[in-house]
Amino acid sequence: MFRGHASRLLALGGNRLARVGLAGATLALLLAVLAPFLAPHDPTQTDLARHLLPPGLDHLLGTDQLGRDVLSRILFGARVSLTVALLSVVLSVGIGVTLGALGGFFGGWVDGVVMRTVDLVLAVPRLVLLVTVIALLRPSVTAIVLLLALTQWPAPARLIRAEILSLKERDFVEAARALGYSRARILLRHVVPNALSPVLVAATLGVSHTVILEAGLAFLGLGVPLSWGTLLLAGQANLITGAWWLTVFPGAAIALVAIAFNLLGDGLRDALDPRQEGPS
Amino acid sequence: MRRYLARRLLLALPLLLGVATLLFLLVEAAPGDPAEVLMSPGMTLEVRSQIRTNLGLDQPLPVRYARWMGSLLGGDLGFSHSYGSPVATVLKRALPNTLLLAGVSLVLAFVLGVGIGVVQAVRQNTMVDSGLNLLVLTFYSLPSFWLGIILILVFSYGAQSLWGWPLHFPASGVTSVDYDLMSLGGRIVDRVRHLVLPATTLVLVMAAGIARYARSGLLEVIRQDYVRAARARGLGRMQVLFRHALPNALLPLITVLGLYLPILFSGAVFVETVFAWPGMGWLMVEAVSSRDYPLILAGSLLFATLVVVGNLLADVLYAWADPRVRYD
Repeated sequence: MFRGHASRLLALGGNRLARVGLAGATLALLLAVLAPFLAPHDPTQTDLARHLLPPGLDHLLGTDQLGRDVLSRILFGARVSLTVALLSVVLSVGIGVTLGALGGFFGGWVDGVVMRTVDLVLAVPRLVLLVTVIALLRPSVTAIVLLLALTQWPAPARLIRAEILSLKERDFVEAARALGYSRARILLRHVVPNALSPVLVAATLGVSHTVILEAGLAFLGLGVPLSWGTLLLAGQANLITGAWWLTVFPGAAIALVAIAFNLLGDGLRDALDPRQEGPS
Repeated sequence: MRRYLARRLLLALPLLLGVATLLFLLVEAAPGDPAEVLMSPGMTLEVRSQIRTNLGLDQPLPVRYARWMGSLLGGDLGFSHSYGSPVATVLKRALPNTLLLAGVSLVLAFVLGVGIGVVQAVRQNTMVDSGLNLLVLTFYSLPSFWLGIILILVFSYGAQSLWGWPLHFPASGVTSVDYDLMSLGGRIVDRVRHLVLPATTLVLVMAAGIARYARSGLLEVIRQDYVRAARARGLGRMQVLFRHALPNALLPLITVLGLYLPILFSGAVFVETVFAWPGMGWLMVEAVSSRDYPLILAGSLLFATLVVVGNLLADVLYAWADPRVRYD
């Protein structure tokens, strides 16, 4: 699908920061997948005799108020945070690309309906909506993924629509039409693949944005257990005891993953389309 | 211009009505009953049904919707049970705090962000540029709530109790407990001191985003012929930069500012929560946890209105600032 982009994607290898981003993102995913083998302790095993221990040899990142190992909790937390972020980004891109492509390609009332819906979703303050609905529904991975996706799809929808509006006037689309191809085939085989680069960039940057947003919701008390945001919330409650490691390390995990995906997204943008710049 | 403005205003109205309807339906669809929060286990069935009747919950959905929309359009936002006062009063107390925090942060973030972007663009592809790039990207990636806690750790708890720095800042609230006893000068200093940490958090995170736009916008403009022509006429680098390139590079940032409003408000939700800053964001989190439905609905609607109006203002400002743009 990315045949035309393969050579440009290879240019990513020449961008040092993008390589750092790719390595960081891969490492984070590996740590999450291998968490059961890497974690030195059971993340839920409490040990009140060893509570609130500062970072040391036995507990590299210290222990929390119930004596649980912070490093193990962060490793297992990576599974929650990254699963939620990746799933919701994939889902939102799926919805957005489908609706945006239909609107952009067919125009008319289809486009009208899609774009008015986009306006509506964008006008609702996203965080307030998420906080309200998740609180009403009780937090669960499914609810959070669905709601994140349902409030995120307008961004990819707009991107692909704009791209398709300019693509469908090009000669190669005209040529495909002259060859007698059906509209569906032209859309799926000729237009959409050529319009995907900005979406790929936005999706990569979107992962880092979503990791932060999910952690933020958890920080407001609307998260699932072990999410990095939930760890931060517990850390903030223990701030007064001077247990800085409970806030510093989970937050650093969020920040490092966000930095990695942002570096990767920036690198992809430079590689796929050197002209387009600016955060999505 | 006037016709454009009228059309945009006419479009904004149905949009806000749509948002209001969507929010109403979401609260309706959620499990649980707005009346439950008012009930206690000891209440008899009669009292319970009386509460439901008083709230109008015994009516069918369309009737409740029509009533709610009717009182909303009439300016009645309902009654907040968790604060025991009209929603409008509660919002009126919180809004100035958010506007103060968000306004100060937006202005400072804009100045800092554009400043960094200018330095980067002028020193493009040097060590300075890539160093700042990494710094900007780092702050762009930091969760605001975490940055806020770190600032509290260092500049409030740490500075006060661990290291005894003379300069430390309060970690929560808008004013000190003894605010009413202070002189006018003391009050101003007290307010500024409380504003320092939350505003710094918001500024750092937002300035990073603005710097990314400012740098790329300026680089785009610097390549243009008129900039080279100005240099060829013998104008100095600084003069070309500040008189010719920068004003044009800043134009798209007006739109960006409009797009930043939702980010600003959601940032405010987190920052207000971390710093116990009694603004709109903090209020919404409180309202959600106490299931204060009228407050949730009205507060969300106020946020939505601010976003829509902000975007409208940004577009109007853009058309005013750039004579090439004409909407007709």
